Amino acid sequence: MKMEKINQNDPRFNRIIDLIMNLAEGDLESRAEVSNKGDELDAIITGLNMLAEELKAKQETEK
Amino acid sequence: MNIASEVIQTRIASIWLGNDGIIRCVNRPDSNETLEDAQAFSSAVKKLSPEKIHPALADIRNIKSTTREARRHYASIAQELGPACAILVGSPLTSAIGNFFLKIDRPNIPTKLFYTENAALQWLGGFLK
Repeated sequence: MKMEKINQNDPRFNRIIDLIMNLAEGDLESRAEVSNKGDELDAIITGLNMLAEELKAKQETEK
Repeated sequence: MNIASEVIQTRIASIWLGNDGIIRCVNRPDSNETLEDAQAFSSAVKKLSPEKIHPALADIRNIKSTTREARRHYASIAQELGPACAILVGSPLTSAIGNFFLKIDRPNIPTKLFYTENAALQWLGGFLK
């Protein structure tokens, strides 16, 4: 798999930080949009989105 | 294509049984998979393989996202569909989705990620009866 250099000005960095902050504040409905690139940043966003889904489901189970 | 059955079209995928006895599922570009899509896949596989003997190749290289409900559905119903499943990935994104499915959802049949179709088909060949 070819690894491409990540552009540090990529707006997805801000989306990732915002999502992490929202999850840390307990907003488990928060999600970030995945781009059409399918690269490492999209993989991180997807992982965080799926983590949020799992945490939300666990929270609802414990209610 | 190496087709031995009708090709079933769902909202996000084409599904068919190959001449080699392996079921293929190929997602359309930028698919966002929901529980309803996963249920449509299950219904298609049950129709193509009522005897549950055909292993499956799920080509998710074009998928963009999948919901927790869809992943849980696949993990819980896999045994009712066939003996094994190879998941074909092609990017960091689809690799993340595949790895998450394997490690968190834990499908109840042998399931493995592959980066090439040939390697996936070779592995699935070991589950043909």
